[in-house]
Amino acid sequence: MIYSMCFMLFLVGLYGVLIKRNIIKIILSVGIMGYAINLFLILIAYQEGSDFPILTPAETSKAMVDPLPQALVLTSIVIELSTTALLVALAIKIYQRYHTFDIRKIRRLRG
Amino acid sequence: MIFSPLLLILLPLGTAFLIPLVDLFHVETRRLMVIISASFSLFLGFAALWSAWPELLAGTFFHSYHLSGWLPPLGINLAFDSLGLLFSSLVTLFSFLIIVYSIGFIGHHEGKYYVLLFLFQAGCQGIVMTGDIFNLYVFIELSAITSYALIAFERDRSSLEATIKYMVYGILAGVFIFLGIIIIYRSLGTLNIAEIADNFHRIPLTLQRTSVVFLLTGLLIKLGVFPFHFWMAKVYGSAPASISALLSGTLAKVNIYILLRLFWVGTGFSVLREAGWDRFLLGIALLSTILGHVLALREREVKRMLAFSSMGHMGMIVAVLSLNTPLGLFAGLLHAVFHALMKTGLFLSAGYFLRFREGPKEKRFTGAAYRKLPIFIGFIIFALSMIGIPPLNGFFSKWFTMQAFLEKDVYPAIALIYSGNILGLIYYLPFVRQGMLGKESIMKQKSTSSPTPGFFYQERFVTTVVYILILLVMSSGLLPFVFQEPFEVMIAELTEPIRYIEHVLGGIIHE
Repeated sequence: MIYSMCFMLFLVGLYGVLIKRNIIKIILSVGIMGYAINLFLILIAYQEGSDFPILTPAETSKAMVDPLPQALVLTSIVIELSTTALLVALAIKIYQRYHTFDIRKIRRLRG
Repeated sequence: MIFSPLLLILLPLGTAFLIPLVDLFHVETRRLMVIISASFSLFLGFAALWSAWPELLAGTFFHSYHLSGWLPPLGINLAFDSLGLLFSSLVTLFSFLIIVYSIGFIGHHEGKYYVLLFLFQAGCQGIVMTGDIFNLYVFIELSAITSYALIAFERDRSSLEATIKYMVYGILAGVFIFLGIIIIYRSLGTLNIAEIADNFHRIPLTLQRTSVVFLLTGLLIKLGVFPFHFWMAKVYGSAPASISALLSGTLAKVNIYILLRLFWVGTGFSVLREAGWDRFLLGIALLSTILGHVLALREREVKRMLAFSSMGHMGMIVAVLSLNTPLGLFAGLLHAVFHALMKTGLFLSAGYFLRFREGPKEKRFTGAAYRKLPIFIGFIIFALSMIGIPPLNGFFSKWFTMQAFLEKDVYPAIALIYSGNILGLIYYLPFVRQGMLGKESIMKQKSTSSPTPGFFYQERFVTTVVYILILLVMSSGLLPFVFQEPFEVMIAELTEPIRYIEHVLGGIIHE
């Protein structure tokens, strides 16, 4: 159930990237797609009723969630941050040149 | 090997982060540092190849490095095998040539440019060496993000547009590859490529195919094979010529490496074959070959024409690799190496004329032969090699490609590639004609070749690199059989992934 919702979030992002014509909306869709993937990554590590993955001297009897995806998600967030920053910088540059965010108009302006 | 393979990644990475620091204090020192660092990494690459050559021929070449001492299935490891060595040498050679070319070519915001270029080199070296699939993804993104910034480097309208387009496709490709990797991790609980290769057949069939579909889609977008080719002409046409050469010569070949590593070693080729997707891959790759050559016909701008021709040749490489016969793999690897040499040469010699002349992009090639004849002759030599004229190297790789298709009785492929050659002749000729005509336009050339004259901004750097490439194209055409023995070792490793698995995971027992 929760997996399919995660997949739907991914599809929303994909739809935005492929269909939307406004650069800002495309950037937001890229973000949504990234969140869906990060959520998916965290979800596959999760087990019902298990503990956080830190060894404490007090009790070690409970099962722990898989710590590796949590480490991977950090890397993936950093990568997403840098791509988003670059995209936004490009969008600013494009707005300065064309005074619009609409991809169709940008193409027409260039001729 | 006499030094750790990690050094090949660390040197460009370290240089990249030192450049802005040195740039703050003294600009000339930074220029010197760029040259020294590039030469040193070329030296390391040669030393690696030289010391590995006997092992390579004996088929025992394998080096690994375990980061922070964790052994393979647990920690991140570098697994440097013969295929990795081939592509690592390519990356080292072309990065060096393009850095030297850029010294005379770029001429503005150089500090930022070299940071990105060295980071790109580090990313490509990382891709060809890593033995960990998530690490592979990180390095793919590293090289992708730096290439976005490099394409937008001119900051003019067309390059900004091209970058937005390329970025959206690149991000989609990255997301698909990442999804594929997550699905594999979910099913196997490991990220080590050797362990994945060992256990991939245990995954349920639907999950196997889902992950392969995601990985393959991502890679095909990156390679620019037929349904995803829209970004290529725009990007290669509007990036600086040195960057177009880097993308088409180096990054595309690194993507071929990822294709080989993931689908021949990682998942095993049988997954593709049992689903019938190798036929599908062959089909779209052939379609992209002919489409690339046809689209190149109507281009009037030299770099866009080269982009479409690049698409045609990448399609041909993917097609011949997807036959999965030893001869097919040999032809594919040979054409990957030779195409990198020829296409880098073409982009760099065309870039020379585009850079040092004024006027609209379509007109700047007119009268090129009068501007600098040796470079123009170089352009003709690269073009002839691309078409496949016998003494030059392009002929040999096409010869083996034809043989590989003949062996498997794929006659339509032979017809398509042959007509691609003839089309190549048709679309290169107008540019040669354009270069030789129009003597009157020599008057309009730029008065000084460089923005600020001085030792570090000289045309001679640019021309030397083109001469070196001419030399490499001609000599590799005369000695194509040097490649025979090492390539056979690589092909054996690709067709029997068990050797890679034993090399990586067998180390646990020995150490």
